[in-house]
Amino acid sequence: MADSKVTSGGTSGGSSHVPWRIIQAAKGASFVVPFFCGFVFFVIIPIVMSFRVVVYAKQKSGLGLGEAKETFVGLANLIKAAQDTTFWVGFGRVALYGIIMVPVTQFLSMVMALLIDSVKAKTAGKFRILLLLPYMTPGVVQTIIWIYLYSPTTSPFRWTGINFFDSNMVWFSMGQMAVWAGLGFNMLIMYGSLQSIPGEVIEAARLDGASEVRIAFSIKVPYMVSSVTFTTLFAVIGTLQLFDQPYFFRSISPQTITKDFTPAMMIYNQAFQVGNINYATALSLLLALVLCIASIGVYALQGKVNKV
Amino acid sequence: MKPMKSIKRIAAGVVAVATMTGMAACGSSSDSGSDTATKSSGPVEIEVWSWDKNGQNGVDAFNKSQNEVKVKFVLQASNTAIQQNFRNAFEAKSKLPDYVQGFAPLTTNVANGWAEDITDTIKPILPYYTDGAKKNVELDGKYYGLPGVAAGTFGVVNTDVLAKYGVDAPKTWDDVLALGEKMKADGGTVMNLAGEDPSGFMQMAEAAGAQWFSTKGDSWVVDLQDEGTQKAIDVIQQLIDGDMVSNQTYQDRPALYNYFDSGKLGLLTMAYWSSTGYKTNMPNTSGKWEAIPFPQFSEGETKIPGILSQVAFIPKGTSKEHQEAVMKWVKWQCTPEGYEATFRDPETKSIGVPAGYTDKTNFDMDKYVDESVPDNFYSNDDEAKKIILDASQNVMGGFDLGPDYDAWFPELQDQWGKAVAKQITLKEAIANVQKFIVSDLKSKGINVKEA
Repeated sequence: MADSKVTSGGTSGGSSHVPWRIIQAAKGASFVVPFFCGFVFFVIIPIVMSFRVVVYAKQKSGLGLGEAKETFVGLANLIKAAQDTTFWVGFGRVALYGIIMVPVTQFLSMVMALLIDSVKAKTAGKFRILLLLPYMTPGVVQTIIWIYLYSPTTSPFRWTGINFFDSNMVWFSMGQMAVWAGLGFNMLIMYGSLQSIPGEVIEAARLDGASEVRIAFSIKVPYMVSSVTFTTLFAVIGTLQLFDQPYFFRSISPQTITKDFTPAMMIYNQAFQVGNINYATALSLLLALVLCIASIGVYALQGKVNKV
Repeated sequence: MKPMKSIKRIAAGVVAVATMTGMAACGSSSDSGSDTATKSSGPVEIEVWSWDKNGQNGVDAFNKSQNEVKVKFVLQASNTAIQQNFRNAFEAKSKLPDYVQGFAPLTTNVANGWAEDITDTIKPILPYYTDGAKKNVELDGKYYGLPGVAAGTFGVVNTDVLAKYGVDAPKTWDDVLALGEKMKADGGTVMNLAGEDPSGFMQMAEAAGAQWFSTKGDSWVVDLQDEGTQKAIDVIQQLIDGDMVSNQTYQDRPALYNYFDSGKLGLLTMAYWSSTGYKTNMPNTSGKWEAIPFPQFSEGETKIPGILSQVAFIPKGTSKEHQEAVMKWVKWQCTPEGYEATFRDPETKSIGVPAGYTDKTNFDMDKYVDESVPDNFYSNDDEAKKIILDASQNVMGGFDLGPDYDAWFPELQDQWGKAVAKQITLKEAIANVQKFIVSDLKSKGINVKEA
């Protein structure tokens, strides 16, 4: 009984109590436990394991029947990956694609966020959900939707005479799918940052006679820099890991979209078709390195923008 | 070229017959302690992994029918799921089932060390299978899988097209080319070659006698440029160069069916199970498709190609006792009641045509063939039934896909797509694939020679 008294009393301020702030912090931290566990099991541990996997290779002999022997190869997989022209050509493709797609997606998302911010809350709510729907749609369903939207037979746009499945249209068709899928998420993040602008700032600008366009460019856009950086970072990462859209188009235009068309497709092919997990891991680590450099670049750019 | 999208689809689609042949066996062997226990205390318990949603029914019926073997059925979500789950269990060295429904070609199963050599225990079931079915699971003189075949391929031609040009149904590929020339003048195409699907080409090569992979001593011999393959290349190249083919993708089914049903297509190669889908989606031409044997390279030949890319197997390490139990279960499926219980869908009442079986099974083949022919799809049902029966009993086997099929098939798809799009010739494409295979095998330390 005495113990229980101490415990219960402790929460109300006794000397042996756990401080209130710590309890609050623990409660807060408990919300991230599920995520943290997932992060550890599905990100941290695989990354640690990858450093072991990458220094081994599976080798067979004779007819190659039976399990392969695992041998230590040091940095051989990484060196081979670094010299793999197919891999870097794939990077070139997604980089070119990204140079066009990332700004286009960001610009359209920003415009959408500003437009929604300029209407009444009720109307904004409806548009927010509508624009977010594609992002919430599972990839498989997205694919089915676009098959029908692009099909020369069923497409509602066939009156235009454009064949979205034509090999010359592949990049455009993929880009359109990507914008459609990513616009809502980016818009939502940017719209969120717009909500944090103090009302009096906007009001003061209006009293000073600033037009809505001027308010948008001089007040709202600067407030959006951090969210634009964040979404740009995600867009860059997503672009460098481009997989869904080209994988879908591989069946439709196999002469253009080969199995190693993008870095992610090549990694997938090596890991799950060729079955060379060791080499796929080496390619993945290189991809992670490039993503890391790209992320640093995006943040550095943000820093410069903020200084301006 | 034919309604199957890829070889994998061939086996997956229909024929549970091929892979399900043994949908029965699979208890993991490994557990020698339990083996001893089961010997003394009751039936041998085996575990079966399969993605057949009705598989439990057959297992229940088998378990009731005897007391020697008790099968535990573990339903897998899909072909992909069974592959992932098995790979995970194998890599983790956890307990493996005693039987796994096929998800990969024979040599892949052996090359990965998954499949057990069952040469000693398979003997009781061999008399129930055709030579083709047995060849499909034999490697280097040993058995590593449960016998099975892919559904045999045959053709259907649009009778309106034949009437329009006043020709008989093609018997040879020369006839197909001749029909293609005539159709081209009116904007029609004699066949469809989907850019993502080289399986039709592989079947042509098989029918022409190609053997891409063989072993010589402790080395693989890779030969994608043999005479048989060259025959297939010649025909297809003429079709491509002569603009006699369409390139509808199987990814866009509405467009595909729409084209097939437009009257502009002359010939489809298919397996019997495609007919229901065609009938539903091709209303304009339904009832106008004349079934014909697979076109031959020389008149008088009767080759029926079919490449099995999913072979059911008994995992490595399974004890002899459990292997024998698996064989008892598989043998039971070779009886009329076992086949019915295992493969008849209780909801739709549909069932596949048994393929790759001998008369020893006493299957009522006419009944199954009758059931496989939908109303008003073929122009002559009786003729179609004869061809389906022939295809199910005489489909070829033994086309080895080598130890690195999963690596080279995507490369073949890439090269095939380029050839169909006229970026390169098919001969160049196939030479590239051979180069890829040799390089891939060498990189894995596997001995390889080019023929």
